[in-house]
Amino acid sequence: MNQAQIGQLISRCQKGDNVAFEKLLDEYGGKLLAYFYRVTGSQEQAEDLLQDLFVKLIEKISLYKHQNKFEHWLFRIAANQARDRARKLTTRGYTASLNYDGADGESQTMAAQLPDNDQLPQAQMMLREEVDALNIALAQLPALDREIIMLRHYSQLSFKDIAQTCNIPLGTALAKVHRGLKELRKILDHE
Amino acid sequence: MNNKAKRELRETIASLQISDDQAKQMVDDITAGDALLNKFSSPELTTKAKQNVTDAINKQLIKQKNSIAPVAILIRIAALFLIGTMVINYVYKPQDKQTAIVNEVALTNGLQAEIELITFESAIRASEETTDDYFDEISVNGILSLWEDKNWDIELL
Repeated sequence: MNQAQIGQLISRCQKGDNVAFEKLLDEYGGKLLAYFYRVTGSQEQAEDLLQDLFVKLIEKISLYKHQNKFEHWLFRIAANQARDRARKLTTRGYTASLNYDGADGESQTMAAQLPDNDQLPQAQMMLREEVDALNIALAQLPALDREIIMLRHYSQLSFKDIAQTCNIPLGTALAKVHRGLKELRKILDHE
Repeated sequence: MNNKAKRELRETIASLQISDDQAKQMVDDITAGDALLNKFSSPELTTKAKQNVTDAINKQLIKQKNSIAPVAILIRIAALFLIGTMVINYVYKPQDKQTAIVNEVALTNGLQAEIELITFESAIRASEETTDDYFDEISVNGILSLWEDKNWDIELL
């Protein structure tokens, strides 16, 4: 979808057109979900955050003026939401880790959320191993480093935009991405 | 990482005060890290999750429309009130300036002399030598003589 089409879609959204919002979901939903998933480590929480994001989007879309930077704007809201969630969890005494609360109330990892290995086709098993490995590695990074790395990976935001979004100096944003990616490589190489 | 992103990365690193070797190392590390992240698949938006978001969108849009409706009605009532006030003002033209009425009445009735008399009274009042009694006398006399000169009906006084 080119910028002109996105602009038209946004105009329709600003008039309250639900079909236009669904098209935005088709366009950005996957990326946003992946971002939330990597930051929270939980598919369930990622889906909740995606839902909340679209509700917020409906409230805020009238304030947006299209200047070919919709994705940046959208990911800024997403980043703020992910941060708010982490803050709430910290306030409630949870650690902002990649664990989630299972149905029985006990904390479980993403690995435990998936079915047993013998029930999965080989491709899914490989995907599960990859997801686990990356999430486990990401869990070892500080929350802000993880957020910045994922923001850059999924949103294509520039370092300048990331620095503005996270309210940190440009050099700090760059250093955190550099250090974080190096750390990730080191962790994943060891596994 | 596409070419634009690579250029942006190089420019950002160049803006920092670090040596060329350090900058090159940084670019290489970040590029390698990006390549590593690209190897991992991302979870997809399931039909159920998409349906949940769509339901939330529809629910929120209905909620927003319902919350906007009373405000829109209030705005319309205020607009109608404003238009009504303007129309009434335009049709009835209330005269609230007494001076304008005096002048208008005086000119309509040809009483230019009355205006002159008021001016005369003001001049007398401004004089330091003038007492109230003198002024009253001059004023009454002036009016009476004016009335007689003009041959107006004395009962009008």
